[in-house]
Amino acid sequence: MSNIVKETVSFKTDMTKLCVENNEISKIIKSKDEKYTVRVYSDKKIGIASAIGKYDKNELFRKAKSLLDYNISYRAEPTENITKTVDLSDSLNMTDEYLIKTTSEAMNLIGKNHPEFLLSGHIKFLKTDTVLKNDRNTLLNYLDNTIDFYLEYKCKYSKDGPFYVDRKRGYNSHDFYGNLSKFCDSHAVKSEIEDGSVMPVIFLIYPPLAFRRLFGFFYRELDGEEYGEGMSAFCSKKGQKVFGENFSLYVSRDSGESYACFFDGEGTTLENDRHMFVENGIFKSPYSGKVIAKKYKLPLTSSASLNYKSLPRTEFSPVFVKSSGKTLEDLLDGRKSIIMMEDGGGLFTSKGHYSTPVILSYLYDGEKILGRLPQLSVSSNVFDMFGKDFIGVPSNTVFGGTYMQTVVTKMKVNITGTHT
Amino acid sequence: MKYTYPEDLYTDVRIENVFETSITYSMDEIKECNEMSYSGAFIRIYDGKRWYCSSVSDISDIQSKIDTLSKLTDKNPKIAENKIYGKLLPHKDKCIVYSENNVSKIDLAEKAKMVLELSSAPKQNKLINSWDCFYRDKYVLKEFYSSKGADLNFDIQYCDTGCWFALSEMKKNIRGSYRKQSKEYFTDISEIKKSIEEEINVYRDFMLNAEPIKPGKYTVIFGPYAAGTFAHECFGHKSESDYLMNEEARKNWVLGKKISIDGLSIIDNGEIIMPYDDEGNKTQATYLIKNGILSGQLHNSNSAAFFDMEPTGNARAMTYEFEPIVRMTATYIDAGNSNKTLKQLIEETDEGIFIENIYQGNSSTTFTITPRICYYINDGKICKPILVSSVSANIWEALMNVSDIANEFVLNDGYCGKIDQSGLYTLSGGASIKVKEMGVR
Repeated sequence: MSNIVKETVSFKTDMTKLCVENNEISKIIKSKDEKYTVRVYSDKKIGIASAIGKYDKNELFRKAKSLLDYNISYRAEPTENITKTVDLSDSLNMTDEYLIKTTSEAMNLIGKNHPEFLLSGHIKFLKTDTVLKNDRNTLLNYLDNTIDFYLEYKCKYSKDGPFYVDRKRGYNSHDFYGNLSKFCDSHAVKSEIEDGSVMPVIFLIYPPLAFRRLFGFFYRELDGEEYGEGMSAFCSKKGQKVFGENFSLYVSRDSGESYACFFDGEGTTLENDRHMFVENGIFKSPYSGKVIAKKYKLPLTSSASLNYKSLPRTEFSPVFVKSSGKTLEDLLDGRKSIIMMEDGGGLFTSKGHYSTPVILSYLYDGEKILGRLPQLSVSSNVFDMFGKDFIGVPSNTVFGGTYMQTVVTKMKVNITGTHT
Repeated sequence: MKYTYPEDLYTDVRIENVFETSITYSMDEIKECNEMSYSGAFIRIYDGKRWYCSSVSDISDIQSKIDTLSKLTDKNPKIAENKIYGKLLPHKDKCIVYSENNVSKIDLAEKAKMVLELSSAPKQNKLINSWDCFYRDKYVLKEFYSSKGADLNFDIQYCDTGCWFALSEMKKNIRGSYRKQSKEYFTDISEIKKSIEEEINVYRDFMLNAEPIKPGKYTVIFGPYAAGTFAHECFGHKSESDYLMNEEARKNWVLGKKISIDGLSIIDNGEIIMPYDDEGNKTQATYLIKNGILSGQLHNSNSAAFFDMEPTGNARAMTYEFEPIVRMTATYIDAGNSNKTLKQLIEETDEGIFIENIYQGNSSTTFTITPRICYYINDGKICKPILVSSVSANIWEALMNVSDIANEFVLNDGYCGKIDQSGLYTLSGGASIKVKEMGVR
């Protein structure tokens, strides 16, 4: 065999997870793991072998090499001649004792000041160390320590309560409690709006699920293969203004902003860590990994999935809408708006129409959350939502972090039920 | 005992020995061909107040992990009196179902050849721009041991094949798919190939002729595949008892209350998937609704202790890396004594929507389904395909508005998400049902 290139990807994780049930830490889970992949490239073919935990590198290499006989197609070259390390692990370091103490303090504050709320879910402190290296002088290493939150509020007097999803590189009980209590105070108040209003709707978006909902149209129509095959709604629109001038959509590999690895599953990095898909309303390019980019002569957008088990696939993440630079209060300019806390999962149709039930939302005046709203539905069309009706992404967020994006657009709102 | 357990505590060990395969052909080229074997374990120790857990990928580390975790606990000489401890039963059993027909015994090359043969179905259709044919399998041999004396060995297996395709014609395009699942390897794929061809025609018709629906309230008929999502999303998640450990959520949950028509039964049956759950408790068929009456809920040891009920074998973890939580297994609408066909349900509908299959569903007090292929019914006939963003209703109202049930039954596999455990293998399905007054947009 000629010209065999060996590439390895290793994923090391060290996790402490606290499971919370009804404001109490019910479980403490610790794990430390390594997942490892060997890729072998030769003559536009690839072989992959993976392992978890203990492994024999030579055995994995032999297995990956044997899979070249299956002629698994991979018509792109491995990344070459780049060495870079991004180490954000110093931004957050804590002991298990601190994690438990801080969480217990915040839960006690909730229990004392908002006894009608019970929180359940988990808080996870995760250390990651990801390395991609190959025989073509590539060595990419990303280290990070983050704390992930997934908490549901169960309210004693209502069926649906808010939830809190976030990722940060810092943790103290007062900030944490402060974020949680914003909604606790307002949840008790029942607010009303007029049926059929057109008003600003504030979407709180966290990856990966919401990418397929609010960004679902882009997820589908900006896919490089869809575009290359002539099936995308953007096919004849390169360089054209399709959305509002204040709307720009991009992939960010700035680990400080996106909490994502600075390289994708193929080792592709980006100049300035960004690639624009839509810039000031003008459609620029679809998203693609190496194979699709080469096949259809598209820009390489660092959009290949990074996992230990399979070939990199085209992936629409991590994606952001460019900030307006203005605060939420400035963007809303006195208008009352709806914070969409939990939607019912509606998707875009092929023609771009979007409609979703809203299970839980709050009325917001730009400074304060006024109260919770009855069950609603919201509807619009993608070209209006990100066109004439697009209000923007604020520089501040409702929860104060960067992981959960806040996107504001005007939509038609209908009342479909009572307060839950 | 396989391990040495600390005194005055409860300890269990769940080991998973996994084999899995993944093959994809895309436009005549093999894009993925991979098989993998690994083992891992999840260890739990309970002191009566809190669980201390760890996952390990080296199973020779299990004993040292037990020893380390136990140092974090508060020993409890009265652990045997604890309610949760009492719900964790020391079953001893060996149920190996897949020794002869184990997918790990089938050569990778043979599986790749099967997928190549399957790909002749989309390849011959000139309207298809792109296609992928795939095959996945997973075999898991589970071992479970506990300080109470549990000693279990059982296995689970599932296989999945099919095709994703993209069609275009007359400047319109659509993406569709066909999947076939089984607990055993596919030795004869002629029927699968025929079904792929039929499904391509369904999507072609939809692509060329679908029009947007006028939003409003409609009678909706859920075909057998869509009915499974109704059972899973509308009601299954609601019956997971960890959601019911909230006073407000329990207000509507009164066992014995009539919540739907006579003849509607929704069952969750773990025996279809595995004999024991991931806490070592036996799985069972649990009636969530029986003949219109609210009859049961799904438990793990924790919720069973909270509600003073027995565990139902619904403690499941996605992989060895995760803790078991209350999850569904195979959740379906039982056809019961219905003697009506789906065709009759449609013929008896003046105006409505027929949902053949769906993209996704989810639920809270309102549940929402996003249909994929659906049709408008007028005067008892399916007359045209329609574009629908969402179909939704309040769960309790939807159950009371079930007006009829047909007797065709299909069980379909899928993957369920809950908190950070997304992708758990489940089954859903059932008899077709007709539901009045659903919000369609």
